[in-house]
Amino acid sequence: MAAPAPLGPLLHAGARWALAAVLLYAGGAKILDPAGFVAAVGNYQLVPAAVAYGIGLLVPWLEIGCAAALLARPWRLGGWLLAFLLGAGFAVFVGSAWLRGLDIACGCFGGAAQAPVTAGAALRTLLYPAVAAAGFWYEPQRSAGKAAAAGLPP
Amino acid sequence: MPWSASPGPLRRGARQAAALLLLAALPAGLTGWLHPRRPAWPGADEILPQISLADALTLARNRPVLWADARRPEAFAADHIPGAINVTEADWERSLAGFVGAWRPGQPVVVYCAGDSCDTSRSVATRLRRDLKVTDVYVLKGGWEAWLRLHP
Repeated sequence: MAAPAPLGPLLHAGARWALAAVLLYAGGAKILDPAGFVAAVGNYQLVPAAVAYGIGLLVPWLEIGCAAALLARPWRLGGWLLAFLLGAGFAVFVGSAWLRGLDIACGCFGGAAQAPVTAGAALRTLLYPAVAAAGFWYEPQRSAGKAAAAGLPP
Repeated sequence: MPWSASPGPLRRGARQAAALLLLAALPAGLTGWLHPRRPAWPGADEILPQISLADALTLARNRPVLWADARRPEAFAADHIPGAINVTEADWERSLAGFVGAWRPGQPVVVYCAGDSCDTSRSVATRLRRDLKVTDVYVLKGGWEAWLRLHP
């Protein structure tokens, strides 16, 4: 009897594609309106205007690059790690805005044309770094497993 | 542990992440330079005058002021400063059409949001200045809360 297909690799691939899709969409939406996203970052009142300017220009392209890396085998480790860092930074921004009671748009998918920061949104933002951390954790194990199956050193 | 025996994956991942960061810097720079909706350089166009409610009311007595409510449509529908129009970034194109219909060139604009803890008035004022070249635009200190304190 054939052994059932392991669920882990399927979950891992699903998470990778889902995260890449979210990042691609988020980055693309932000790139359409960089001024709006820079304003949205500034609205968090966490960093000086010059830093908000840099974050606002860089993050959308990081998200696109991160999505591409998650889909390109040799770059997956970097993709997971970058997705974790982006997600963690995002969670800090949204969480702090929620704790300070700021009535601002989250800017999650570009500009300020977004849902406001709420407790639910703050909790949801923890999902991304959690998925990315799990993906990073599992990625080398999976590669090693495949290498072993193929009779190669991990 | 999957990879604790070797520091390789973390180091490799960090190296790749750093490379992605460097790769992103180039298009980010081009976006700031060439994009039609590029943000203003910090400090170049961001100095927006704030105005207290008392000063805004004095201004309104001397000149017709256009009040722009930058809160969400539900909040605007519930109540707003008499004569105000709703201008939100969430529906910017429609807001712009409404604004253009109500605003007369040279007319001062006072933008407000919920209170001190919001910043949508600043975003909307910045975009009015950038997209429509409205130069006489102010951000109301204290926003709607300040209005409610005076008109409970």
